[in-house]
Amino acid sequence: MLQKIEENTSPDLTQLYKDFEEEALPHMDALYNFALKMTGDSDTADDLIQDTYMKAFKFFDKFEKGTNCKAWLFRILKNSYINDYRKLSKQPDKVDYDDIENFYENIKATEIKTSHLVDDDFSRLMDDDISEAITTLPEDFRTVIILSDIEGFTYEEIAEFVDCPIGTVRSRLHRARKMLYTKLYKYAEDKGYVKSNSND
Amino acid sequence: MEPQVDIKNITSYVDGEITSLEESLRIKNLIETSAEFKFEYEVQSGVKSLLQERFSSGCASFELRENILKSLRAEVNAIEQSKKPVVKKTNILENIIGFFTHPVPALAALAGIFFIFIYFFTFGTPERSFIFDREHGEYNMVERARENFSKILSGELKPQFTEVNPQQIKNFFKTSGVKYETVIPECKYWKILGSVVSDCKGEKLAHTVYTSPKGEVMYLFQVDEKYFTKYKTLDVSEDLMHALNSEKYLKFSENGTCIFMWKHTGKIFTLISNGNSETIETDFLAQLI
Repeated sequence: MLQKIEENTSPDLTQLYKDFEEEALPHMDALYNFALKMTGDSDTADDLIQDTYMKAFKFFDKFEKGTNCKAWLFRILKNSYINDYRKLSKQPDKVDYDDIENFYENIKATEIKTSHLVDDDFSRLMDDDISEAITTLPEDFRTVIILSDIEGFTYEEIAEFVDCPIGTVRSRLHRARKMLYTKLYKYAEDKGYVKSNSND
Repeated sequence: MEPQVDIKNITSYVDGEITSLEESLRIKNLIETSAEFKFEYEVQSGVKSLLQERFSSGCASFELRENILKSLRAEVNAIEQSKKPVVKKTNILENIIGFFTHPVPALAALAGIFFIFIYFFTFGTPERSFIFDREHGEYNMVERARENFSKILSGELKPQFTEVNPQQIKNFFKTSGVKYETVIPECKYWKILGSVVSDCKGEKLAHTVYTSPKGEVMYLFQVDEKYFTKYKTLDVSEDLMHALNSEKYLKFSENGTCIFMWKHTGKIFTLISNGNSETIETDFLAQLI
Protein backbone atom coordinates (compact mmCIF):
# COMPACT_ATOMS: atom_id res chain seq x y z
CA MET A 1 0.00 0.00 0.00
CA LEU A 2 2.61 2.45 1.10
CA GLN A 3 4.83 1.61 -1.86
CA LYS A 4 2.10 2.59 -4.29
CA ILE A 5 1.72 5.90 -2.53
CA GLU A 6 5.45 6.58 -2.43
CA GLU A 7 5.93 6.15 -6.16
CA ASN A 8 4.03 9.30 -7.03
CA THR A 9 3.87 11.47 -3.96
CA SER A 10 6.00 14.03 -2.21
CA PRO A 11 7.97 12.94 0.87
CA ASP A 12 5.82 15.13 3.17
CA LEU A 13 2.60 13.58 2.00
CA THR A 14 4.11 10.10 2.12
CA GLN A 15 5.17 10.71 5.70
CA LEU A 16 1.73 12.06 6.59
CA TYR A 17 0.11 8.97 5.13
CA LYS A 18 2.60 6.70 6.89
CA ASP A 19 1.95 8.41 10.23
CA PHE A 20 -1.78 8.18 9.68
CA GLU A 21 -1.52 4.50 8.84
CA GLU A 22 0.48 3.84 12.00
CA GLU A 23 -1.48 6.05 14.39
CA ALA A 24 -5.06 6.01 13.19
CA LEU A 25 -5.73 2.74 11.39
CA PRO A 26 -5.11 0.45 14.41
CA HIS A 27 -8.19 1.97 16.11
CA MET A 28 -10.56 0.91 13.36
CA ASP A 29 -12.06 -2.05 15.25
CA ALA A 30 -12.75 0.07 18.34
CA LEU A 31 -14.34 2.78 16.22
CA TYR A 32 -16.35 0.21 14.31
CA ASN A 33 -17.69 -1.37 17.49
CA PHE A 34 -18.73 1.98 18.83
CA ALA A 35 -20.30 2.99 15.50
CA LEU A 36 -22.17 -0.30 15.33
CA LYS A 37 -23.53 0.09 18.84
CA MET A 38 -24.56 3.69 18.16
CA THR A 39 -26.18 3.18 14.74
CA GLY A 40 -27.49 -0.36 15.25
CA ASP A 41 -26.77 -1.23 11.63
CA SER A 42 -23.59 -2.61 10.09
CA ASP A 43 -23.94 -0.80 6.73
CA THR A 44 -24.49 2.55 8.43
CA ALA A 45 -21.58 1.82 10.77
CA ASP A 46 -19.37 1.12 7.72
CA ASP A 47 -20.33 4.45 6.16
CA LEU A 48 -19.75 6.27 9.42
CA ILE A 49 -16.28 4.76 9.79
CA GLN A 50 -15.35 5.55 6.21
CA ASP A 51 -16.45 9.19 6.68
CA THR A 52 -14.59 9.38 9.98
CA TYR A 53 -11.32 8.20 8.46
CA MET A 54 -11.57 10.48 5.44
CA LYS A 55 -12.24 13.50 7.67
CA ALA A 56 -9.48 12.45 10.05
CA PHE A 57 -6.97 12.20 7.20
CA LYS A 58 -7.94 15.64 5.89
CA PHE A 59 -7.20 17.14 9.30
CA PHE A 60 -4.37 14.83 10.33
CA ASP A 61 -1.77 17.55 9.84
CA LYS A 62 -3.58 19.44 12.65
CA PHE A 63 -3.45 16.43 14.98
CA GLU A 64 -0.95 17.00 17.75
CA LYS A 65 1.46 14.08 17.76
CA GLY A 66 1.85 12.30 21.05
CA THR A 67 -1.71 13.09 22.16
CA ASN A 68 -4.47 10.52 22.28
CA CYS A 69 -5.22 9.60 18.67
CA LYS A 70 -7.97 7.19 19.65
CA ALA A 71 -9.84 9.90 21.58
CA TRP A 72 -9.32 12.31 18.66
CA LEU A 73 -10.80 9.79 16.21
CA PHE A 74 -13.73 9.11 18.52
CA ARG A 75 -14.49 12.84 18.63
CA ILE A 76 -14.51 13.03 14.82
CA LEU A 77 -16.74 9.96 14.73
CA LYS A 78 -19.11 11.48 17.28
CA ASN A 79 -19.44 14.72 15.29
CA SER A 80 -20.12 12.81 12.08
CA TYR A 81 -22.64 10.65 13.90
CA ILE A 82 -24.48 13.64 15.36
CA ASN A 83 -24.44 15.65 12.15
CA ASP A 84 -25.16 12.99 9.57
CA TYR A 85 -26.14 9.65 11.03
CA ARG A 86 -28.12 10.04 14.24
CA LYS A 87 -31.42 10.59 12.44
CA LEU A 88 -30.86 7.42 10.40
CA SER A 89 -30.06 5.26 13.41
CA LYS A 90 -32.40 2.83 15.03
CA GLN A 91 -32.96 4.20 18.50
CA PRO A 92 -34.21 1.93 21.30
CA ASP A 93 -37.64 2.48 22.80
CA LYS A 94 -37.78 5.06 25.57
CA VAL A 95 -36.82 3.66 28.93
CA ASP A 96 -38.82 4.37 32.03
CA TYR A 97 -36.03 4.85 34.52
CA ASP A 98 -38.44 4.70 37.51
CA ASP A 99 -39.50 1.18 36.50
CA ILE A 100 -35.88 0.11 36.24
CA GLU A 101 -35.04 1.75 39.57
CA ASN A 102 -37.95 -0.03 41.31
CA PHE A 103 -36.94 -3.36 39.85
CA TYR A 104 -33.34 -2.74 40.80
CA GLU A 105 -34.22 -1.85 44.40
CA ASN A 106 -36.36 -4.98 44.56
CA ILE A 107 -33.46 -7.18 43.45
CA LYS A 108 -31.10 -5.35 45.76
CA ALA A 109 -33.29 -5.98 48.81
CA THR A 110 -33.49 -9.69 48.03
CA GLU A 111 -29.84 -10.14 47.14
CA ILE A 112 -28.63 -8.33 50.24
CA LYS A 113 -30.92 -10.49 52.36
CA THR A 114 -29.53 -13.71 50.85
CA SER A 115 -25.91 -12.48 50.56
CA HIS A 116 -26.04 -13.56 46.94
CA LEU A 117 -23.01 -12.83 44.77
CA VAL A 118 -23.81 -10.62 41.78
CA ASP A 119 -21.26 -12.31 39.51
CA ASP A 120 -23.01 -15.67 39.75
CA ASP A 121 -26.18 -14.38 38.11
CA PHE A 122 -24.77 -13.71 34.69
CA SER A 123 -22.17 -16.40 34.19
CA ARG A 124 -24.51 -18.46 32.03
CA LEU A 125 -25.73 -15.60 29.86
CA MET A 126 -24.73 -15.60 26.21
CA ASP A 127 -22.46 -12.89 24.79
CA ASP A 128 -25.31 -11.90 22.47
CA ASP A 129 -27.54 -11.21 25.48
CA ILE A 130 -24.93 -8.79 26.80
CA SER A 131 -24.53 -7.13 23.43
CA GLU A 132 -28.31 -6.76 23.02
CA ALA A 133 -28.68 -5.33 26.52
CA ILE A 134 -26.14 -2.59 25.66
CA THR A 135 -27.92 -1.79 22.42
CA THR A 136 -31.21 -1.22 24.22
CA LEU A 137 -29.74 1.37 26.59
CA PRO A 138 -30.64 5.02 25.88
CA GLU A 139 -27.96 6.75 23.79
CA ASP A 140 -26.45 8.90 26.58
CA PHE A 141 -25.98 5.90 28.83
CA ARG A 142 -24.87 3.58 26.04
CA THR A 143 -22.18 6.07 25.04
CA VAL A 144 -20.58 6.38 28.46
CA ILE A 145 -20.65 2.68 29.27
CA ILE A 146 -19.03 1.70 25.96
CA LEU A 147 -16.38 4.40 26.27
CA SER A 148 -15.58 3.52 29.87
CA ASP A 149 -15.97 -0.22 30.22
CA ILE A 150 -15.17 -1.41 26.71
CA GLU A 151 -12.83 1.25 25.34
CA GLY A 152 -11.17 2.16 28.64
CA PHE A 153 -11.45 5.96 28.39
CA THR A 154 -11.06 8.02 31.57
CA TYR A 155 -13.86 10.19 32.96
CA GLU A 156 -12.03 13.27 31.73
CA GLU A 157 -11.80 11.91 28.18
CA ILE A 158 -15.44 10.85 28.21
CA ALA A 159 -16.49 14.26 29.58
CA GLU A 160 -14.70 15.93 26.70
CA PHE A 161 -16.25 13.50 24.27
CA VAL A 162 -19.85 13.94 25.45
CA ASP A 163 -19.30 17.59 26.31
CA CYS A 164 -20.55 17.49 29.89
CA PRO A 165 -19.01 17.71 33.39
CA ILE A 166 -17.14 14.78 34.91
CA GLY A 167 -19.84 14.49 37.60
CA THR A 168 -22.44 13.88 34.90
CA VAL A 169 -20.25 11.20 33.34
CA ARG A 170 -19.95 9.43 36.69
CA SER A 171 -23.68 9.73 37.32
CA ARG A 172 -24.58 8.40 33.83
CA LEU A 173 -22.11 5.56 34.22
CA HIS A 174 -23.53 4.65 37.60
CA ARG A 175 -27.07 4.57 36.23
CA ALA A 176 -26.01 2.85 33.00
CA ARG A 177 -24.49 -0.04 34.95
CA LYS A 178 -27.59 -0.30 37.11
CA MET A 179 -29.79 -0.36 34.02
CA LEU A 180 -27.59 -2.95 32.38
CA TYR A 181 -27.55 -5.05 35.53
CA THR A 182 -31.36 -4.92 35.70
CA LYS A 183 -31.72 -5.86 32.04
CA LEU A 184 -29.28 -8.75 32.36
CA TYR A 185 -30.96 -9.88 35.56
CA LYS A 186 -34.28 -9.99 33.70
CA TYR A 187 -32.69 -12.03 30.89
CA ALA A 188 -31.19 -14.40 33.46
CA GLU A 189 -34.52 -14.64 35.23
CA ASP A 190 -36.39 -15.36 31.97
CA LYS A 191 -33.94 -18.15 31.19
CA GLY A 192 -34.23 -19.58 34.68
CA TYR A 193 -30.63 -18.85 35.70
CA VAL A 194 -31.81 -16.90 38.76
CA LYS A 195 -34.92 -17.21 40.90
CA SER A 196 -37.69 -14.75 40.10
CA ASN A 197 -37.73 -11.60 42.22
CA SER A 198 -40.21 -9.53 40.31
CA ASN A 199 -43.24 -10.64 42.28
CA ASP A 200 -41.65 -10.52 45.70
CA MET B 1 -21.15 12.93 52.93
CA GLU B 2 -24.69 12.13 51.64
CA PRO B 3 -25.32 8.38 51.18
CA GLN B 4 -26.43 8.95 47.54
CA VAL B 5 -23.14 10.73 46.81
CA ASP B 6 -21.25 7.92 48.49
CA ILE B 7 -23.05 5.34 46.38
CA LYS B 8 -22.02 7.22 43.21
CA ASN B 9 -18.49 7.45 44.58
CA ILE B 10 -18.43 3.67 44.44
CA THR B 11 -18.58 4.08 40.66
CA SER B 12 -15.53 6.35 40.79
CA TYR B 13 -13.83 3.85 43.13
CA VAL B 14 -14.49 0.96 40.72
CA ASP B 15 -13.11 3.00 37.82
CA GLY B 16 -9.98 4.06 39.68
CA GLU B 17 -11.02 7.69 39.47
CA ILE B 18 -10.53 8.51 43.15
CA THR B 19 -7.14 10.13 43.56
CA SER B 20 -7.23 10.75 47.31
CA LEU B 21 -5.92 7.81 49.31
CA GLU B 22 -8.00 8.86 52.30
CA GLU B 23 -11.22 8.93 50.28
CA SER B 24 -10.35 5.64 48.68
CA LEU B 25 -9.87 3.99 52.07
CA ARG B 26 -13.14 5.46 53.31
CA ILE B 27 -15.07 3.99 50.36
CA LYS B 28 -13.31 0.66 50.83
CA ASN B 29 -14.34 0.65 54.46
CA LEU B 30 -17.96 1.43 53.56
CA ILE B 31 -18.00 -1.49 51.12
CA GLU B 32 -16.62 -3.86 53.75
CA THR B 33 -18.99 -2.79 56.49
CA SER B 34 -22.29 -2.13 54.74
CA ALA B 35 -24.27 -4.79 52.86
CA GLU B 36 -25.91 -2.12 50.72
CA PHE B 37 -22.59 -0.60 49.70
CA LYS B 38 -21.19 -4.05 49.10
CA PHE B 39 -24.09 -4.83 46.77
CA GLU B 40 -23.64 -1.55 44.89
CA TYR B 41 -19.92 -2.27 44.57
CA GLU B 42 -20.62 -5.74 43.21
CA VAL B 43 -23.09 -4.39 40.67
CA GLN B 44 -20.75 -1.67 39.45
CA SER B 45 -17.60 -3.80 39.36
CA GLY B 46 -19.49 -6.90 38.17
CA VAL B 47 -21.03 -5.14 35.16
CA LYS B 48 -17.71 -3.49 34.32
CA SER B 49 -15.76 -6.76 34.34
CA LEU B 50 -18.57 -8.54 32.52
CA LEU B 51 -18.29 -6.03 29.66
CA GLN B 52 -14.51 -6.16 29.67
CA GLU B 53 -14.43 -9.94 29.56
CA ARG B 54 -17.52 -10.99 27.70
CA PHE B 55 -18.49 -8.20 25.35
CA SER B 56 -18.27 -9.68 21.90
CA SER B 57 -16.37 -7.15 19.89
CA GLY B 58 -16.98 -7.12 16.18
CA CYS B 59 -14.22 -6.34 13.75
CA ALA B 60 -14.27 -3.90 10.90
CA SER B 61 -14.67 -6.02 7.78
CA PHE B 62 -11.84 -6.62 5.35
CA GLU B 63 -13.93 -4.89 2.70
CA LEU B 64 -14.33 -1.79 4.86
CA ARG B 65 -10.58 -1.67 5.51
CA GLU B 66 -9.85 -2.03 1.82
CA ASN B 67 -12.34 0.69 0.89
CA ILE B 68 -10.85 3.07 3.44
CA LEU B 69 -7.30 2.39 2.25
CA LYS B 70 -8.40 2.84 -1.35
CA SER B 71 -10.16 6.11 -0.57
CA LEU B 72 -7.15 7.35 1.38
CA ARG B 73 -4.89 6.51 -1.53
CA ALA B 74 -7.20 8.38 -3.88
CA GLU B 75 -7.15 11.32 -1.48
CA VAL B 76 -3.34 11.33 -1.36
CA ASN B 77 -3.15 11.20 -5.14
CA ALA B 78 -5.75 13.94 -5.46
CA ILE B 79 -3.77 16.18 -3.12
CA GLU B 80 -0.61 15.41 -5.07
CA GLN B 81 -2.26 16.10 -8.43
CA SER B 82 -3.78 19.32 -7.18
CA LYS B 83 -0.26 20.48 -6.29
CA LYS B 84 1.33 19.62 -9.64
CA PRO B 85 -0.25 22.20 -11.99
CA VAL B 86 0.76 25.05 -9.65
CA VAL B 87 4.38 23.97 -9.81
CA LYS B 88 4.25 23.63 -13.58
CA LYS B 89 2.63 27.04 -14.07
CA THR B 90 5.32 28.70 -11.98
CA ASN B 91 8.04 27.01 -14.01
CA ILE B 92 6.46 28.01 -17.30
CA LEU B 93 6.06 31.59 -16.13
CA GLU B 94 9.63 31.69 -14.90
CA ASN B 95 10.83 30.25 -18.19
CA ILE B 96 8.84 32.75 -20.24
CA ILE B 97 10.25 35.65 -18.22
CA GLY B 98 13.71 34.13 -18.61
CA PHE B 99 13.31 33.83 -22.36
CA PHE B 100 12.13 37.40 -22.75
CA THR B 101 15.24 38.70 -21.02
CA HIS B 102 17.27 37.15 -23.85
CA PRO B 103 16.15 38.40 -27.29
CA VAL B 104 17.32 35.41 -29.37
CA PRO B 105 15.20 32.65 -27.78
CA ALA B 106 12.23 35.00 -27.33
CA LEU B 107 10.87 34.23 -30.80
CA ALA B 108 11.20 30.50 -30.21
CA ALA B 109 9.38 30.85 -26.90
CA LEU B 110 6.55 32.79 -28.47
CA ALA B 111 6.27 30.27 -31.28
CA GLY B 112 6.21 27.46 -28.73
CA ILE B 113 3.46 29.12 -26.72
CA PHE B 114 1.49 29.74 -29.92
CA PHE B 115 1.66 26.07 -30.89
CA ILE B 116 0.69 24.97 -27.40
CA PHE B 117 -2.39 27.20 -27.53
CA ILE B 118 -3.34 25.90 -30.97
CA TYR B 119 -2.90 22.32 -29.77
CA PHE B 120 -4.99 22.78 -26.64
CA PHE B 121 -7.79 24.63 -28.38
CA THR B 122 -7.97 22.07 -31.17
CA PHE B 123 -7.57 18.79 -29.36
CA GLY B 124 -8.22 19.47 -25.68
CA THR B 125 -5.72 18.35 -23.05
CA PRO B 126 -3.94 15.17 -24.14
CA GLU B 127 -4.08 13.81 -20.58
CA ARG B 128 -7.87 14.00 -20.47
CA SER B 129 -8.24 12.44 -23.90
CA PHE B 130 -6.01 9.68 -22.67
CA ILE B 131 -8.18 9.23 -19.57
CA PHE B 132 -11.45 9.14 -21.49
CA ASP B 133 -10.04 6.81 -24.14
CA ARG B 134 -9.57 4.18 -21.47
CA GLU B 135 -13.16 4.25 -20.21
CA HIS B 136 -14.58 0.97 -21.41
CA GLY B 137 -16.38 -2.04 -19.96
CA GLU B 138 -19.87 -3.25 -19.20
CA TYR B 139 -20.12 -1.39 -15.89
CA ASN B 140 -18.05 1.64 -16.81
CA MET B 141 -20.06 4.83 -16.25
CA VAL B 142 -18.71 6.63 -19.31
CA GLU B 143 -19.31 3.62 -21.54
CA ARG B 144 -22.86 3.28 -20.20
CA ALA B 145 -23.50 6.99 -20.71
CA ARG B 146 -22.22 6.76 -24.29
CA GLU B 147 -24.53 3.82 -25.01
CA ASN B 148 -27.53 5.48 -23.39
CA PHE B 149 -26.94 8.73 -25.25
CA SER B 150 -26.74 6.85 -28.52
CA LYS B 151 -29.99 5.04 -27.71
CA ILE B 152 -31.69 8.32 -26.81
CA LEU B 153 -30.69 9.81 -30.15
CA SER B 154 -31.91 6.76 -32.08
CA GLY B 155 -35.20 6.75 -30.13
CA GLU B 156 -34.43 3.34 -28.67
CA LEU B 157 -34.44 4.74 -25.14
CA LYS B 158 -37.48 6.81 -24.27
CA PRO B 159 -38.18 8.79 -21.08
CA GLN B 160 -40.22 6.85 -18.54
CA PHE B 161 -41.35 10.02 -16.81
CA THR B 162 -42.07 13.21 -18.72
CA GLU B 163 -42.93 15.68 -15.95
CA VAL B 164 -40.59 18.69 -15.97
CA ASN B 165 -40.97 19.78 -12.36
CA PRO B 166 -37.67 18.99 -10.56
CA GLN B 167 -39.39 18.00 -7.32
CA GLN B 168 -41.70 15.60 -9.16
CA ILE B 169 -38.70 14.13 -10.95
CA LYS B 170 -36.90 13.67 -7.65
CA ASN B 171 -40.01 11.92 -6.28
CA PHE B 172 -40.13 9.74 -9.38
CA PHE B 173 -36.52 8.69 -8.82
CA LYS B 174 -37.20 8.02 -5.16
CA THR B 175 -40.35 5.97 -5.70
CA SER B 176 -38.65 4.06 -8.51
CA GLY B 177 -35.98 2.85 -6.10
CA VAL B 178 -33.13 5.32 -6.53
CA LYS B 179 -31.55 5.33 -3.08
CA TYR B 180 -29.49 8.51 -3.30
CA GLU B 181 -30.47 12.18 -3.36
CA THR B 182 -30.67 13.46 -6.91
CA VAL B 183 -30.01 16.90 -8.39
CA ILE B 184 -32.29 18.17 -11.16
CA PRO B 185 -30.76 21.34 -12.57
CA GLU B 186 -32.89 23.77 -14.51
CA CYS B 187 -31.68 26.00 -17.32
CA LYS B 188 -33.30 28.52 -19.66
CA TYR B 189 -31.79 27.06 -22.81
CA TRP B 190 -32.03 23.40 -21.94
CA LYS B 191 -35.55 22.15 -21.17
CA ILE B 192 -36.18 18.89 -19.38
CA LEU B 193 -37.51 16.29 -21.77
CA GLY B 194 -37.91 13.43 -19.32
CA SER B 195 -36.30 11.04 -16.92
CA VAL B 196 -35.30 7.41 -16.81
CA VAL B 197 -34.47 4.98 -14.03
CA SER B 198 -32.18 2.14 -15.04
CA ASP B 199 -31.13 -1.01 -13.22
CA CYS B 200 -27.54 -2.02 -12.73
CA LYS B 201 -26.71 -5.06 -10.58
CA GLY B 202 -30.07 -4.57 -8.83
CA GLU B 203 -29.41 -0.89 -8.03
CA LYS B 204 -31.59 1.84 -9.52
CA LEU B 205 -29.78 4.73 -11.20
CA ALA B 206 -31.02 8.17 -12.25
CA HIS B 207 -30.89 9.72 -15.73
CA THR B 208 -32.35 12.98 -17.04
CA VAL B 209 -32.67 14.12 -20.65
CA TYR B 210 -32.81 17.74 -21.79
CA THR B 211 -33.47 19.26 -25.17
CA SER B 212 -32.73 22.66 -26.68
CA PRO B 213 -34.84 24.87 -29.01
CA LYS B 214 -32.53 23.73 -31.84
CA GLY B 215 -33.36 20.09 -31.14
CA GLU B 216 -30.02 19.29 -29.52
CA VAL B 217 -30.02 16.69 -26.77
CA MET B 218 -28.24 16.77 -23.44
CA TYR B 219 -28.16 13.69 -21.24
CA LEU B 220 -27.26 13.73 -17.54
CA PHE B 221 -26.38 10.56 -15.62
CA GLN B 222 -25.83 10.93 -11.87
CA VAL B 223 -24.72 8.25 -9.43
CA ASP B 224 -23.75 8.36 -5.78
CA GLU B 225 -20.01 7.94 -5.29
CA LYS B 226 -20.60 4.97 -2.99
CA TYR B 227 -21.75 2.95 -5.98
CA PHE B 228 -18.15 3.18 -7.22
CA THR B 229 -16.20 3.00 -4.00
CA LYS B 230 -18.30 0.79 -1.78
CA TYR B 231 -20.92 -1.15 -3.70
CA LYS B 232 -18.92 -1.50 -6.94
CA THR B 233 -22.09 -1.21 -8.98
CA LEU B 234 -20.30 0.93 -11.56
CA ASP B 235 -16.69 1.77 -12.23
CA VAL B 236 -14.43 4.32 -13.85
CA SER B 237 -10.70 4.03 -14.30
CA GLU B 238 -8.49 4.93 -11.36
CA ASP B 239 -6.98 7.82 -13.36
CA LEU B 240 -10.41 9.23 -14.09
CA MET B 241 -11.42 8.98 -10.43
CA HIS B 242 -8.25 10.82 -9.42
CA ALA B 243 -8.91 13.49 -12.00
CA LEU B 244 -12.50 13.86 -10.76
CA ASN B 245 -11.21 14.28 -7.22
CA SER B 246 -8.80 17.02 -8.19
CA GLU B 247 -10.49 18.91 -11.01
CA LYS B 248 -13.63 21.02 -10.94
CA TYR B 249 -14.87 19.20 -14.01
CA LEU B 250 -13.48 17.26 -16.96
CA LYS B 251 -14.30 17.90 -20.58
CA PHE B 252 -13.80 15.77 -23.63
CA SER B 253 -15.02 15.80 -27.23
CA GLU B 254 -15.55 12.78 -29.45
CA ASN B 255 -17.56 12.07 -32.60
CA GLY B 256 -19.42 15.38 -32.55
CA THR B 257 -20.46 15.06 -28.94
CA CYS B 258 -19.04 16.58 -25.80
CA ILE B 259 -18.68 14.73 -22.54
CA PHE B 260 -18.43 16.44 -19.19
CA MET B 261 -17.77 14.71 -15.91
CA TRP B 262 -17.59 16.10 -12.42
CA LYS B 263 -17.98 15.16 -8.80
CA HIS B 264 -20.24 17.21 -6.59
CA THR B 265 -22.08 16.66 -3.29
CA GLY B 266 -20.94 13.03 -3.10
CA LYS B 267 -22.21 12.17 -6.56
CA ILE B 268 -20.50 11.57 -9.88
CA PHE B 269 -22.13 13.17 -12.90
CA THR B 270 -21.64 12.37 -16.57
CA LEU B 271 -23.15 14.68 -19.15
CA ILE B 272 -23.18 13.97 -22.88
CA SER B 273 -24.57 16.30 -25.49
CA ASN B 274 -24.51 17.02 -29.18
CA GLY B 275 -24.99 20.71 -28.35
CA ASN B 276 -22.39 23.44 -28.11
CA SER B 277 -19.95 22.55 -25.35
CA GLU B 278 -19.18 26.18 -24.45
CA THR B 279 -22.88 26.97 -24.02
CA ILE B 280 -23.20 23.96 -21.75
CA GLU B 281 -20.26 25.18 -19.70
CA THR B 282 -21.56 28.72 -19.31
CA ASP B 283 -25.31 28.13 -19.09
CA PHE B 284 -25.55 24.78 -17.41
CA LEU B 285 -22.40 23.76 -15.56
CA ALA B 286 -21.66 27.21 -14.16
CA GLN B 287 -24.80 27.16 -12.04
CA LEU B 288 -24.24 23.57 -10.92
CA ILE B 289 -20.65 23.28 -9.79
